[in-house]
Amino acid sequence: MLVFVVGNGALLYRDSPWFRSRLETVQGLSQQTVLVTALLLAITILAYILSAATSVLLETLEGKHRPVSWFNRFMHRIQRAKLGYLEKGYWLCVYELGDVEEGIKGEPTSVPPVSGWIDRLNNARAVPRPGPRFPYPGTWLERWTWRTWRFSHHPDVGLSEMGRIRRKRAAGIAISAKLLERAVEKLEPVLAANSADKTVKSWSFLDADCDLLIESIYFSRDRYQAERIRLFNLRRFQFPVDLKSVAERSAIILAPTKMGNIGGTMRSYAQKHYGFDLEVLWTRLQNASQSSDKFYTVLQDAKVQLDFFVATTWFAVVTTIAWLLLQLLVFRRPAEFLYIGTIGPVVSVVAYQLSCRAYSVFADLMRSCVDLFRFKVLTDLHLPLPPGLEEEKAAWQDLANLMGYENTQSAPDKLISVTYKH
Amino acid sequence: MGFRLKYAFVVTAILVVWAAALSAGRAWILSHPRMAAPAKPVAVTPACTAAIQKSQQDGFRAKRNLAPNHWIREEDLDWTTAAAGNLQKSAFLNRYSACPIHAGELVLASETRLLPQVEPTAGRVAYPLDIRDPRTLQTIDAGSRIDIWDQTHLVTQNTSVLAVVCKSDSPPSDCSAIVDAAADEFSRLQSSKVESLRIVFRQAKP
Repeated sequence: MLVFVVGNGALLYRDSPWFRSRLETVQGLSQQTVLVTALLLAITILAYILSAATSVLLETLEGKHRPVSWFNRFMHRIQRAKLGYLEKGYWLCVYELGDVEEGIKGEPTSVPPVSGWIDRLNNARAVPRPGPRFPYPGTWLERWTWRTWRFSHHPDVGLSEMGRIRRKRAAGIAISAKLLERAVEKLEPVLAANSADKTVKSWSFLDADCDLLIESIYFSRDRYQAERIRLFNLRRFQFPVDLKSVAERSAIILAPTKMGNIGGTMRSYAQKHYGFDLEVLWTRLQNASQSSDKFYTVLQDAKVQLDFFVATTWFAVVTTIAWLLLQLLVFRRPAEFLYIGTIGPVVSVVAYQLSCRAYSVFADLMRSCVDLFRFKVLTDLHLPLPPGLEEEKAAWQDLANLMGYENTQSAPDKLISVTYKH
Repeated sequence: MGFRLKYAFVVTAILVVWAAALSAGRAWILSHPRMAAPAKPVAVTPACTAAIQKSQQDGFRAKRNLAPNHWIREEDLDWTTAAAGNLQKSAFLNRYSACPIHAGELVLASETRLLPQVEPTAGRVAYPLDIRDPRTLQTIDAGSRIDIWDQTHLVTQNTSVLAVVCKSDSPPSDCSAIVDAAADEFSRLQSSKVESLRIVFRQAKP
């Protein structure tokens, strides 16, 4: 209404001298006032249009609309390669963790039983073995001389392996099971041979290296475990699907952009865990989540933050393109053209990354929303609560079929039956 | 080829394409410079008199069009003009036109000033460019348009000359042409050596 009042006023001001003279007699109403009013009005209208267009802007960044969708083929390859890399890293971590744990545990049930690495090292330290002692270097200079001077004919006591383990441990990098195993195999006979006389100086160095190796084995196990969890979460919360499709039918696929995939994780989480179709039931869930003011406020704040960064991304992109064209065609200042061409894309990329970050936070809240309020949806719809997870999955699928896809059959010969609970 | 290597390759390729596009855009801008807006004409001072009103006054007739800030030399005015009265040449020579004068129009002493008053166009600066070649000095004046080269590099293109000033007038020495330079042209001019600069005329004295 305000828009039309001001619009009609502007037309009257332009066409009617009487109106103009009346308006100008108002004290303090100058041309500047009119300009500022028009500017504020324009900003208000733009803000409304922008808030209405936010979902389209977000979907465009997800690769659903042009112009982003023009590059879908290329971007899909990148996303698929990223997912492949992530999965490869994850499985590598899983295998390494398994190998390290197996090394620690040994195989007590096999014949003959195989002791774990820690037991082997501790046994070698505790029970001396008859035979000649191995010389063992202590200072870093001795170690360096042993390792680099190839004509010294020193026995291989695992110095190279221990050096690598020491460096990796100091840097906080996971140590592979193979390297740990090699170190154990080389250090074990040295420990066993030298433990007869624990008073010599070299024994203290050897003992310290053994302690370091044991600590590094535990560290490596924990590091692989932490990395496995990190990669698992990264996979689950950045990609809605696995690299390879499975036999089970699903409408969730890999999106061509990072934002699209983060968006897809909300749907895939709900679908995978509860059979909850977020596409169909989102508005009902939103209504249910409003029962908790605090949660709904947090969700709204996250959405506002996301909208802000999405709008910023678009403004940055549009501003960059517009000013590049203006510089090329109108102003023609080479230095400014280069500045805009350099700074504009950087700002756009940073804004996009921040948008992805904000979307991750929002998606996380949405997953919590599904966890916390899905039963409220059933209660609101006067439907009975399912006794278990399997029943719940079936109930949501039936509901989505009925409400979203107008499908009354859950299987070719099985009608969906709904019993209300009032 | 590992993922990281492929990713680095793709990112590098995109950056290279973008850098090439920017370079092409810059080259295009340099080859199609914006036609400089005509220098804002110096406001006609109250001293300027309409041509019809001058007929009864003392002055010398202009042999050519004189732009504002034109450095008045021997060959610019007809010193045999009957309307000169008691006027001395020295009241005009080596002074600067304060008004736009058409060829044949009478020039009054009040329409000249001792030094030029330049007003560069918005966003530009008045840069004093040393003129050492006497032939250039004979050719250049306010209203000329020039290209400036630093050996093989184009420093400015189609630049307006706002005025020419010399520390000593007879004979002229230690002269500079005040040019209307854009900010990037100004920085290039500053970083160039005076000895290596060459002037190419697009338009000599108007």
